[in-house]
Amino acid sequence: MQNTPGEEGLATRPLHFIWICDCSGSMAAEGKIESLNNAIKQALPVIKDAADQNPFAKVSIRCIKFSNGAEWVNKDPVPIEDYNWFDLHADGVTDMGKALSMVADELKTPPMEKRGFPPVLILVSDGQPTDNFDSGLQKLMAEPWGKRSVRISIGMGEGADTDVLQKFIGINNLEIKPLVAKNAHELVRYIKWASETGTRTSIAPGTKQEGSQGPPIPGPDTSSGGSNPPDFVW
Amino acid sequence: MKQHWQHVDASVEGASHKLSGKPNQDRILFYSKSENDSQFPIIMAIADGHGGEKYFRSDKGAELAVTTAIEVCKGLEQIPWDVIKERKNISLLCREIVLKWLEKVNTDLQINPISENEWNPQNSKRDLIVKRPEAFTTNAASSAYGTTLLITAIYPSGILYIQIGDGDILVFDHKGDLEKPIPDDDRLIGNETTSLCQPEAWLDFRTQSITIDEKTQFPALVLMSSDGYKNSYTEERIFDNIGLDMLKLICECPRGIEVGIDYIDQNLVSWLNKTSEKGSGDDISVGIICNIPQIEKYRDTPHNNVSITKSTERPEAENSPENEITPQTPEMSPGSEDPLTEKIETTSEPTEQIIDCIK
Repeated sequence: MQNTPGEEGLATRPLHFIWICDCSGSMAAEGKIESLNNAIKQALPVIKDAADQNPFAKVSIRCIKFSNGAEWVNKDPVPIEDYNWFDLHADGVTDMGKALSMVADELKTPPMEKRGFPPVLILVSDGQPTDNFDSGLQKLMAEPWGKRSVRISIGMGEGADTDVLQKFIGINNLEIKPLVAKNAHELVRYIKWASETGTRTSIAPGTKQEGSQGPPIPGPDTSSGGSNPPDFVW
Repeated sequence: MKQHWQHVDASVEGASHKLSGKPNQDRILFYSKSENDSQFPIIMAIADGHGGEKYFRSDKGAELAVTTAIEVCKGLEQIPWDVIKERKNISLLCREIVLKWLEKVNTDLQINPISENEWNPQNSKRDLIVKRPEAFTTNAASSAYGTTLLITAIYPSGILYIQIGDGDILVFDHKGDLEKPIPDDDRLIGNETTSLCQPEAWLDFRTQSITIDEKTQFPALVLMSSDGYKNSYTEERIFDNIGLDMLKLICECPRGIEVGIDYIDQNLVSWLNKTSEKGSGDDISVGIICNIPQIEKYRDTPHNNVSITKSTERPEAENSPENEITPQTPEMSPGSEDPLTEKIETTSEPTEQIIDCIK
């Protein structure tokens, strides 16, 4: 039997999942940064399970943190099955705009492939940006993959700027509100939900669509989800 | 010289569709005036239904699209090429394709009204908010049939390439040089595509007409495919080489070119199944139109380097008030010194595949 033409170049389609994490000084208070580290660790198997629904997607993970400026924790995408979370530490201000700008740089095509699934961007923050957030967001949305990404934002505590988090999701996406976790238990639940929903929304098999606003995101269940263990309230 | 043509086509259900129980939403249809593909017009059409909840009849939409394409392009048989190739007439042709497709969609809706099981207002409402507000109210029913469409229509004095949405048309000449007659559309990224079901969809068609004369010959091979094919490859370069690999396979067959084409015909389904399994998981449809005399020329000519020519955006299209991106490109002949044509020199690597078409 003749080899399949071009067989050596065959590969499943990539999905890039990017955590955008607030590591400002306020995250050091009341166990927030530890809660974030813990929640994301618990969410990694959830992403893998969600990815398994579509064996034709290759999911890889990246993380960028922001405080005084922004920095990639891992700039190169790591396959979900090989990914280990490195605990983040909190210190400094909230340069969220810089982080979005750096994410935008990585979403250019190339290196991103046009054939990929929409990237999933999860933004987690407990405060207000201290730099030019709008400029960073504008740069992100100017990239074809930025505009088409699945964007979910999660606030931690009442200090989170929900207007900014809503802008990140998109003002056209009025059905989807930022989630605001009031304690570590809620954060775990929301991070897991965002991980699963983001991945499933991006790689839903056999679905195309007209238009260019990214796939629609189903709304979250924000019910209490049972009794909470004793916890800080943020 | 009397041209002799041969064609191959196949459409396979995507590997991911097999897992999820979704049907193949691609359709491919070929037409030739004579049974042995020796008389014009020769027409190939591929349509890729969108799938998904909102596009719940897109397999039917794809079927109606390829049928419409063949009908409309067949109707040009008696019209002189000089008239067909006029830009305004190609625009009218695109409009006619859309309107006839919508007509068929409406007929189908009358015969088979949308049932409650098919319609999911909640999903449509969400799409309404997220995407284009007018779509739900004016175009919801035809959206259920949403599909792309690619057409190659070959007449005695010219070829029309017509496309809306994603998918690829690769054209190889007798030197093995590749031309991509349809310009890229930057909006086609990931799962997003332009569609026959959009309002005024004819404005989103991308077209090319090639006049066949003393300077410009018929191509040796035209390869058309739905996007599940290209999306299976990490690099466009590898995908681009597939047509050339096919050309080489045909020419290396010791029992002749026609047998070589038959060999591809016998293997194409299994190749596409494997491509979907190891690649995109999507439905894949491929149509190949071969011109035997031009393939003979290719076979009898030594090859070192081949080039890739891409059609690019046109300034007048960029400035068009109706469209952001390049619909209705003007006529261009391959090989002409067109400053808007990007030429890329690539090395033609000898194929390592050994054809086994003797048995």
